[in-house]
Amino acid sequence: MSKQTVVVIGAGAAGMACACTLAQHDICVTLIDEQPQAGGQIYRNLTENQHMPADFKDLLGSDYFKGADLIKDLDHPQITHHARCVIWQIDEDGTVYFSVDGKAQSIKGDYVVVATGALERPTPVKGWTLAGVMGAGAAQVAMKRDGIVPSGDVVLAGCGPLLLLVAQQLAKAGCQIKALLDSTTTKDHVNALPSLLPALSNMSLLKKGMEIKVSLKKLGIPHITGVEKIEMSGDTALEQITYHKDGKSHTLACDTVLLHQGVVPNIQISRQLNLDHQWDESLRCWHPTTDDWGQSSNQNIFVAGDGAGIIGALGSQYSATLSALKISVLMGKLPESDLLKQAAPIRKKLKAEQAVRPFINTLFKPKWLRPDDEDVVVCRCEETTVKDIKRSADIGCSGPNQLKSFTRAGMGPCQGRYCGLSVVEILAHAQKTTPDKLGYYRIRPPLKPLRLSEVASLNTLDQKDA
Amino acid sequence: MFKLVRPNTNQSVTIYFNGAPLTAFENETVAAALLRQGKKEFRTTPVKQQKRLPFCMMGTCYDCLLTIDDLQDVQGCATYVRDGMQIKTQHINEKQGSDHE
Ligand SMILES: Cc1cc2nc3c(=O)[nH]c(=O)nc-3n(C[C@H](O)[C@H](O)[C@H](O)COP(=O)(O)OP(=O)(O)OC[C@H]3O[C@@H](n4cnc5c(N)ncnc54)[C@H](O)[C@@H]3O)c2cc1C
Ligand code: FES
Repeated sequence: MSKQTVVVIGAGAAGMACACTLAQHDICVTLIDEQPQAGGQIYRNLTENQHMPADFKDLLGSDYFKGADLIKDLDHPQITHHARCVIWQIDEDGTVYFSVDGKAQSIKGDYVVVATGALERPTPVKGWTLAGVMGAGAAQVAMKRDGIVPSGDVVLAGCGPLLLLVAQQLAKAGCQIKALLDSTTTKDHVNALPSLLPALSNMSLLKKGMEIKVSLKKLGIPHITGVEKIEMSGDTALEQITYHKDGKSHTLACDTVLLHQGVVPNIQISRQLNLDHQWDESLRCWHPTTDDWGQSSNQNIFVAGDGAGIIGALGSQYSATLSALKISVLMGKLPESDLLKQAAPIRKKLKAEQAVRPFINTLFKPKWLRPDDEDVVVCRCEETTVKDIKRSADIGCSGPNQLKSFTRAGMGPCQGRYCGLSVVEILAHAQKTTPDKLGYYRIRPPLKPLRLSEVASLNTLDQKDA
Repeated sequence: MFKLVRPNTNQSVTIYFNGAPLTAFENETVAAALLRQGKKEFRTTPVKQQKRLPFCMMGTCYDCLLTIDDLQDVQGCATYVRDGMQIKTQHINEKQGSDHE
């Protein structure tokens, strides 16, 4: 009989913490991730960057290098880490199908933990598809992984802690930052005030935020707040950005625009699994419905980390540790009577991370969700515009799934990852309803485009020591 | 345009972009190698023939699609360079089908 196994998907803060805790309880873990190294978003390429010159390490910051211990702990006889594996399907019984180097394999877990993290929220504004416009998080990926930064004039636009962090990192890297166009208003600050008191229980995070703001000033970055609207233009690629503030518009020539409006849970896998989801009105996104331990509506499937609802790197680690403890009980490796005791200190730390979220979410409320401009492209893959979507709404399109057949929106290779939220915002507004009533795209396998030769090569992976 | 912000001491390899040789570093993604060399286009879109460059750099948006070693629709941001790799911009037209440079 094969050994009991838990399959953990995603080797980020959550997936790593989960795998390590399971291993400590003598449970065999298969950790699967598409990246060549463990680390996920925040700790991307950490192992290599530890050997980089001091000034580069300085701009990555001390939080980044905190992931080193988690990565080291993965070196455990109970953990098998499969890197460069693209997952393309998961069955309700816990069978996970993935491809490595063009060859497909499958493995069945007694439990599956989905820890696939977050994506940058789409920012559907005029010109966001132009060559030269990318995500601020994307620029950070390029910096951490490949050591490259934009070389011409850079403008950052949007809102959120990551936008400010990336501005700081790029300025330290010597990039020419022409402006940081921040949609955050004085009103957002006022609105966030009532949630400041509970947030005070996490002083270190608040302090970090303040430090970044001071640092942006010191670095001489023109930080323009209260920006109401932006649009990018250029003949065949980006040439300039125009921003509107206080009834006036200003245009800046630039080579790169980095957009960001916070991150949202990556729900491709949880949707493909048909797990229950709920709409988060303040964050304006969906997340899978889970209990206090991360267990989803399918009892074999747990969801942990940012993929279960945005909670940050530390929060992701804690929530995933709780999932691992619960699974340890379910697999008979931890007495049920010990569960609450072991969980208590972790739950306390998780609470401190949760306490600061309402403040962050209110302060950095995303603004550019539903473009008025009719020719803005919403679905980057199929180039569906606002006008196409509104026209479908006018003729009675009932929701995002019907919109697919009306306009092809969401049918390209990204499977709606960068248009799903915008589509429901536009449709809901046009039909005077709310996104949670409209629902979301049905996600069918393969989760990522797959070649026929890959499917043909399907092998069942032998479980460790089976 | 992108530039290196820290030394890259990895072994250099030669890749070919639309037939022209370029120097890249081992362990570098195809997307990074091309952005670093100032390439302004990875593909044009099937409907409006717009030029696209990488947008997410993390394998989720599919804006970085290229034809690599004769395989269409390969993600440049999720593919690592190999010596001798043949990379081509991709111009797949909705009506006419594929047309590589
Ligand atoms: C671009 C970006 C940059 C960020 N930078 C920072 C930062 O600098 N500081 C910070 O505090 N927070 C940052 N965040 C926020 C970040 O989401 C969390 O702080 C933290 O990384 C969440 O941990 P996680 O384990 O839940 O997810 P992640 O760290 O995102 O890990 C998820 C892992 O799942 C893998 N994965 C996803 N889908 C699949 C699939 N289908 N098949 C195989 N593997 C898959 C991914 O490759 C990834 O390694 C960033 C987010 C993004 C999107
Ligand atoms: S840039 Fe988004 S998938 Fe490569």
